[in-house]
Amino acid sequence: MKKLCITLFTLGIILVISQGAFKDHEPVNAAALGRKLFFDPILSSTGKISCASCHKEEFAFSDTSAVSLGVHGRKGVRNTPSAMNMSLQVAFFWDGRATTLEQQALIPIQNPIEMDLSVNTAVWRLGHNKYYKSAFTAVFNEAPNAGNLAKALSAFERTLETGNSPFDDWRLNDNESAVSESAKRGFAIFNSKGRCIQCHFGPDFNDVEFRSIGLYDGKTLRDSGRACVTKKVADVGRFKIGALRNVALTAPYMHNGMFKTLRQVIDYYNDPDKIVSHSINRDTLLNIPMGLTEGEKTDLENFLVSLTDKRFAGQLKKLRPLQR
Amino acid sequence: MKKLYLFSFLFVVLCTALSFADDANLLIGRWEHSTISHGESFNFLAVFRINGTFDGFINKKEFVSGVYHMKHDTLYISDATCNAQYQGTYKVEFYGLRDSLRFHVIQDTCKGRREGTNGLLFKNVGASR
Repeated sequence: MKKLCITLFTLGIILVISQGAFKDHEPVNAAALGRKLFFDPILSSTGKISCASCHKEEFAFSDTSAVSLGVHGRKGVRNTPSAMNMSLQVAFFWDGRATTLEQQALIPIQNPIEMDLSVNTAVWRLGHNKYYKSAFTAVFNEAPNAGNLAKALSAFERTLETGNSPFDDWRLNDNESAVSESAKRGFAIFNSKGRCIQCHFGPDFNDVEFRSIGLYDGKTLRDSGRACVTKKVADVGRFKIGALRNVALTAPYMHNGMFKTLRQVIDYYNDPDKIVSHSINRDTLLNIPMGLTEGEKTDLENFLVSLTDKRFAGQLKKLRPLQR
Repeated sequence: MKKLYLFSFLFVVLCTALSFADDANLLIGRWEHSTISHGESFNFLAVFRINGTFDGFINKKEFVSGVYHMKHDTLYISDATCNAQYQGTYKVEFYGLRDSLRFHVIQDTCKGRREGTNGLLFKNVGASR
């Protein structure tokens, strides 16, 4: 009898300790709560899709398919952009329909082809979830609501900054061996012959403008982009200029994911007419072909690869095993 | 007479050396400006190198690079974002023992560069190559 009591007591102690060890601790701040929400399918109608289903961490929080699949396998209409390096952005989504990260955060939750959940239902679910009820109270001193849900998600996204690429190491620390000679030549091409710098500049290599790179022809390419928001003819075919940090990990490319590799992207910019012959409203910057040699294209590609944050070095090696 | 020639020659060499010393590029180094906007802190770093190149960083992220040169207290600066063929000009005012500086626009049609430079106080945070 005594032995049984001791055994039961010991088992009880182990159970209590193990439960404590696996207990989901309350997040200490909005960003930690946001991270938990970002990876939790609780915010989709089916309970199967989370933000991270399309914004995959290992691919710099982007997706590997041209368009992502939402609830019930519903196909999206645009390529999932990276959710990283959002802190300095002033427009969100390819058409810029949101102007703050907080606005942006709630839109995919409600989109019927993405997570398909009304914000009211999302808030109700969180309020009736023991963990989230307690976590929101701990972080925001109030129950979950639309405002603090958006705040938590955007706070997490603001932590996803990357500024530790070989390129940064080269320029910031004057570490000449951080990037290859080819990447250095590529940077020079980026700034000169390639004319890339005309649109891709700033800390994340994009501008705040919307540009038409010629991927609208009204026939097979029918996404009018920014014009969906502004209703202006001048905005037909214009899209947000994509940021280039970690771009080697975020294939496929463009708003519709039509290019599978960086080389295809470079080939397109080198001579757009060869790929889309009757584009409408294309930016005049692309009227004259760049005339890059194959070697120059390789240099440009190597420069773009050098913008990959060192935290993704392992992933980059998997995707580009032959690159040093 | 020979001595006079020799002395004159040495004098010219010395003067030349001194005149170069006067025009030493005081801008070479790392200069930082920190600010807070909408609750977010921003750190601007400018690196001016001996080889006449410069880079600008926001929160350690490179956002501009180009070439520059100094003539007395005037900075001539160009970058591909603003048009590599065009030079903006700024008066550079150094404070203390070159521990900080302020740029004053003389002429620059590039709005972004002008707004990110003119009137801002940068402190010296180290040497550059």
